[in-house]
Amino acid sequence: MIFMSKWNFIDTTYIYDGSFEGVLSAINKVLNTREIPYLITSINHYVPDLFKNTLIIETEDENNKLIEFLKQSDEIYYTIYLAFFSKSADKEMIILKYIVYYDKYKRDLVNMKHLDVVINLNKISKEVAYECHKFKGFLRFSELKSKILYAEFEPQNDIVSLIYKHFQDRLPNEFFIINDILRNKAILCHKNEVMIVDSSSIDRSFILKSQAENLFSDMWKGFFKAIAIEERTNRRCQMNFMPKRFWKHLTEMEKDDE
Amino acid sequence: MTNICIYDCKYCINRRTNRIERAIFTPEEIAEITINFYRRNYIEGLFLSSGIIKNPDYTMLKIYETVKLLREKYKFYGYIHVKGIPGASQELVKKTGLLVDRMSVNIELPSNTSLKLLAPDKNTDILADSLKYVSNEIKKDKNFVRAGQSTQMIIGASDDTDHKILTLSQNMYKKLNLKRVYYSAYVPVNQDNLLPALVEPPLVRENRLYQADWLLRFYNFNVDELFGVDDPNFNYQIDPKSNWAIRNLNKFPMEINTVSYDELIRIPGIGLTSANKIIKARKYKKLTFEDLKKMHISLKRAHYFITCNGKYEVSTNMFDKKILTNTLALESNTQQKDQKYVQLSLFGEDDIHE
Repeated sequence: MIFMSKWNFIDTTYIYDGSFEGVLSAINKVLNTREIPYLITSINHYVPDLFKNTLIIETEDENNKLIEFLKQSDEIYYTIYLAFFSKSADKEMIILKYIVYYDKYKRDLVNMKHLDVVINLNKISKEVAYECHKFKGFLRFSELKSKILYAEFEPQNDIVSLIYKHFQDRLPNEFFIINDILRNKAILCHKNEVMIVDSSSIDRSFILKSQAENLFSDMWKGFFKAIAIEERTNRRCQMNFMPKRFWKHLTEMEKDDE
Repeated sequence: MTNICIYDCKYCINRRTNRIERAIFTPEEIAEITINFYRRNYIEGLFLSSGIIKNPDYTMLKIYETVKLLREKYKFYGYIHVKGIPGASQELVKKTGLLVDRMSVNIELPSNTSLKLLAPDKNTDILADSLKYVSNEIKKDKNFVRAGQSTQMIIGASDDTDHKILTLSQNMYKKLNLKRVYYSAYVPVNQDNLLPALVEPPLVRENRLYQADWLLRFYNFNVDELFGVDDPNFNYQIDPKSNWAIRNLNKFPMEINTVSYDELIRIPGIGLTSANKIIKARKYKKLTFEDLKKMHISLKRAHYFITCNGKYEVSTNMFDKKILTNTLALESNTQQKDQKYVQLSLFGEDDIHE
């Protein structure tokens, strides 16, 4: 596109701290300098490359101007925010390219659904949104002896901080924990208080369930089997709604021990 | 709540004269289970149905007690859908409706004749009155059954045609402001002189009815457009919209870049989402087939019915009623399931016992 000729492409890798504010700081620098780096990558994923310069991006406290600019379209801001939590290794560059186009086309960009830049961002954003939606339904809590509700899952995208609010609304007076055991990242919620912790030190075999827990999980498994109508069995349809990758931590899909 | 029932509807596994084990939950038990399933995120809400125990009022009272417990004692604010019991007092229905999100009354069968025959304990007038009462109360108070009313009927237990079924739906949507009509494929669980000897539940037919239902509600179709004069049933191998398009080829092919939204949604394979994508994107560029594919707009059916900038993607020989019918039937997923079933006349002399 012609407008890209006003930008310089530089042979530098920008390294940010891994946070959403961090990547916004990096993108802020791009917009201010009109220089597009070879790569934007988080410190956790950085692979040293002899042939590229590197630049550490300090996370600015005030990305407000950029956020205000992006929030001129709620849809666009939200799409970008979700995309940040994607598992895609290219997410930073996909977001950067989108914002560079947004700088030119502003809110109209959201309607240009034939552009690769738009398609790529929407794709990863949609994947994150889809997984959030599925896990809001497929997360299963167990009640522990301490009455804490505990759930484990293994999401492909880093969504634990995107779904906890849903459960805060649902369980306003409970203490619950959602543990991403792939990333060893757990979120602890009690009423309005929220804490994200490293869960690698938890020995999960020591997690004790409450007495009532087995009663309810058995009833649930029984109910799940009983409501199935054999004549309407449709494995393909079931897998459409409930892809197999979500079965691992589902109570009703647990193999019975006997 | 219970599979105890005083009625003897021919098609129902819980009919009074079937010898099966009967069980019943108390309102407290249902409430306790619901709240604990909800906390564990097993469920989103409660769908509470019941056989008729003692009489309609008693049954409705138990249902009312359950939802009252859930809302007031257990502070459950999730989704509740209850069955309205036809014949229960309006006072009970009213009290219950203020506590639930959805209430539905099953009309069971698409015509008075089939209802009289297969569910003689149920009365068309009482069913209609129940639906009307709820519909009127909803108009008066938006907190009453705030997610609206729905209904359900069985498909394939009677010889009512698709045209008849959908005309009934269209009228109910218009007059009663229903949110949904559910079409439930008849699953043969009982043997009876009056029931058809189906080999399998008519799942494909059920799917086609849902597709047509969507056309009525969201695509501005009228029931009579979907059927030919001599054709009161669908060709199950093709979806209803494609069926309509093939019989109205004079309206096609449509040029993607110029036709209105109302015309776009008439194209087979183009849904509301795709139509919106097209409307938005074509402001910036004349769309080609490549663009449509990149935007994830399915062309599997649409490409027989559209042009992009005047170009037609498939061979012009295809644009023929018979050829399109055969092609779409071949390509459709229904080829994978061989729907073999025999629909015998309810009033015929055929002996359908083995």
